[in-house]
Amino acid sequence: MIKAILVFNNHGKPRLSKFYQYFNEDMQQQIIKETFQLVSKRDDNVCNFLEGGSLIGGSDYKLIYRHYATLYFVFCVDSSESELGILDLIQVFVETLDKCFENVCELDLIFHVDKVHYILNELVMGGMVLETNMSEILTRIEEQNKLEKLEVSFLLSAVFDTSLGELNSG
Amino acid sequence: MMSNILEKTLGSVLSSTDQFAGLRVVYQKCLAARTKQEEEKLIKQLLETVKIRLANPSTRPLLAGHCLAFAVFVNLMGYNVDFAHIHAINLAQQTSYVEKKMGYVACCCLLNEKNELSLLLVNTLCRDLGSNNVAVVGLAISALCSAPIPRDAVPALLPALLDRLHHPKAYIRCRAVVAAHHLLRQHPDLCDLGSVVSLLGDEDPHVVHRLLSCLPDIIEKSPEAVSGLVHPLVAIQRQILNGKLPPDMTYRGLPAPWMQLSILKCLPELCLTEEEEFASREVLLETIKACSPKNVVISDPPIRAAINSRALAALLSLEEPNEASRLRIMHFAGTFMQSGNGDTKNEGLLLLESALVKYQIALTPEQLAIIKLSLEHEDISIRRRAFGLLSASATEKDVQNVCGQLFTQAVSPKTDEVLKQWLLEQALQLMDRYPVALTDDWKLSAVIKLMPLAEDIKIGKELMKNAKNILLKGCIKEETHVKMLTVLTMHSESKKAPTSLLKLYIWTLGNFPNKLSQGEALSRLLTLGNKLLSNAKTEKSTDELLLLTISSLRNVIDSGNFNSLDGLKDFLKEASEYSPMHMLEACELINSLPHLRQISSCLKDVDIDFSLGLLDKFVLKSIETQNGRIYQPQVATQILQSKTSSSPDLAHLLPVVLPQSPSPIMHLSQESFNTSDESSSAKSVCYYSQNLESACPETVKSNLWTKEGRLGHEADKSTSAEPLVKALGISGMKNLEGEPSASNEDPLGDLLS
Repeated sequence: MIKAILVFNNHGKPRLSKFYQYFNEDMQQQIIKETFQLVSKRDDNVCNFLEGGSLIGGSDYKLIYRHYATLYFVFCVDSSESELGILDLIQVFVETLDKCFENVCELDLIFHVDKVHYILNELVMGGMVLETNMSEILTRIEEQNKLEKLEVSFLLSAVFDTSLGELNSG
Repeated sequence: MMSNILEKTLGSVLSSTDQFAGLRVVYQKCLAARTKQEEEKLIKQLLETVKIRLANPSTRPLLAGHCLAFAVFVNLMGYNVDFAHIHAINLAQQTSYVEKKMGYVACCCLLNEKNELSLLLVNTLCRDLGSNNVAVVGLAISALCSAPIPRDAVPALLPALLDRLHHPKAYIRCRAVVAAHHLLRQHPDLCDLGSVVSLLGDEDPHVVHRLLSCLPDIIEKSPEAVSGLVHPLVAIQRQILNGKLPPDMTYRGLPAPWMQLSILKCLPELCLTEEEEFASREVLLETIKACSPKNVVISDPPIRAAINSRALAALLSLEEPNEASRLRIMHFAGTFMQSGNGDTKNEGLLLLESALVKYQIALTPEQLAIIKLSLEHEDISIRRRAFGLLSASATEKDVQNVCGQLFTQAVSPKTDEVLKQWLLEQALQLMDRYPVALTDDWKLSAVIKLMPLAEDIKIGKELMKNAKNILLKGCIKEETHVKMLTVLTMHSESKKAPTSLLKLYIWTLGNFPNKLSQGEALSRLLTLGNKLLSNAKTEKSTDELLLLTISSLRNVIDSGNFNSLDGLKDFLKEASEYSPMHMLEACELINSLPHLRQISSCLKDVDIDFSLGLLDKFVLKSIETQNGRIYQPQVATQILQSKTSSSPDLAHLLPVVLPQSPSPIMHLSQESFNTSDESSSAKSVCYYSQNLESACPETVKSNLWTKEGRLGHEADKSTSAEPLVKALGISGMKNLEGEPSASNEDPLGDLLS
């Protein structure tokens, strides 16, 4: 099971956090801070797994992370998950973000925090991996985008029709 | 020309778009803040604006959605956005898909289990689960997993969710399986997912895949529901390996790798019969053959190594140890360990460790060389794996060497607390695994060296316990004991001694005073105690050490290993004045001091066990069942008083410390330390006098204890016990006579009320 998914930049500023186990807000901030401290001091040529920090569960949990340019993507998992499997899952997540935002960068995660959550919800749900096929995930996102555009254009046209109706009657 | 209405309407729509562009500027401003204070000030101002906007009923839901997105963003940064909770729920209740989606995301990010508003979401979820709109059903199922659902609401939601397991769309069935699994993990007593297992035959392999992920938990919670699943799983795995699955399930050239991982994890746990084990072993071997690369290259996806590793681990648990399986696992472990990729190397070390535990095999020189290199690897994770391997491969001959290496790594300043704890645990486990291979002397030396390292971590207590057990066993050499005392003395004299070593020192002095010359233990304890007292004014952490010192002093005095008690009274008086916690302990000791010698000298010709050890079991029973209080030696004063008045030989007794006030905590008066006549001392007992007057010496004598039990042969025990109870005030004494004391009766109430 995945306990938490954290994304923060090279300075430790969080850009995405999703906890699949309850922690109060103060504890969440401390976990983010502790995870950043653990992960940031590792070189780029070492392996991508380490023991979980004491706040998130200690040695029963592992932190599996990947560093992309200015962002760290960290998955905190328990022993039932395959470390190498999760490593590939992070890759799938990042590639999906890249496809959705067209060369994703840190600012995309800030300006479209809701969209990032939509994408993540297609990948992981309730701490369990939901979908690993990037094409499938992108198809779903595309369907949702179409639905949203349809609704917005319907809303606009409804407003326009109403106003025109009033104009004609006036 | 447009009407006012159209102008206003278009204007408001355009202005909402502008406001979104305006929100982007707001985000940029938040990011551009140069200091934390600036950021805080800006965000607080913005949150006020957002709060007003959200509270305004005329705010369009789309704009409310953008405001909530901003609230989610600042919440991530640690700011309080409690005001947004109700608006998130309102938005989730909207009929529009766009608004509902944002509302659910905001609810999942902002609400928590302690929030009472989460109950309001339940009806919305129930309604949306039954919706005809597939997208809305998907939203509701996702929110069910992420939003905080009260436990009471689960029985209301579960039927609607289980109904979705048979939805015509595979997309919904997938999500429903995961959501059902989520509820099973959260509330196993409320959910029974035996029926979910039937989805293993679903036409859509994605649904099967989701179910396989949930299978380990279902196996644990409902094992009867999953019996007989081995052959279906074996069949599915064969279909995967033969490429029967849709091409979209292929990842980096591997067919449905995550699905394979799930099957490989479940297979060993489900096998019950030999036939099932045989079928499982066959398919595991096929998997290893299919997924093995010819050469391990860095660009290989990590998941290939994951499948191999998991298949080998599953095989390890199913097979009896034989040469072929041993060679197979060693081959793969070696191949992974030689990889330049740190992740694969890590996996190889893990595999080798599993093999060593099962097979107890000797490592080849090449493997030993790799492990040795890995011990010094810059990557702490690889080093940890290598140490785990070393620990697993340790034998009786080299256990000391391995422990030494673990200690060296634990001592290293580069080692963090988590790794230190793990290394020390590994070392202790090795010491337990080979108790004969390591002498007690070596173990004691190792533990004493490690104790300062482990002060801040939980294993510190384990180490202290180990040290005490080794010392109490009494098997260590004399010279080791002497060396240990020398080392501990050195630490105690240093300016900054580790607390754990000081504790061990004080404990050792108290429990083994005879290891030093007569009176030396007492002298050292007093020196240390006075030092602690002078430090106590500035450091609060010495409280525990002071209590330990007083307790050790008691042990030393009990053992009789002292020449004089000079300095002891002063120390105890100062300790008792320092804190109420010490007062009782110190007073106990003070009051017992004169009595021990006096009782000993008065009763030396009488065959009486004055230690009152016989009473221990009764006292303990009373403490446990009747809430009694422990025996307090101050009451021995009363016996002596009564004996003094009857026996002139005892007239020269030293004055005793007497309680001066009726409060439960005794107060030491200055007069009690001065040599005064017994009459003034006797007067100070007036508080208890009414009970003492009835205790005549003969009665007391006739009720004294011997090793065989009580004296008091012809006297009626029921009547003779009563004055004894009153005189001694020993808790629970009434119970000795079979009289049950009331549960709320304080056995010492007549003395201390």
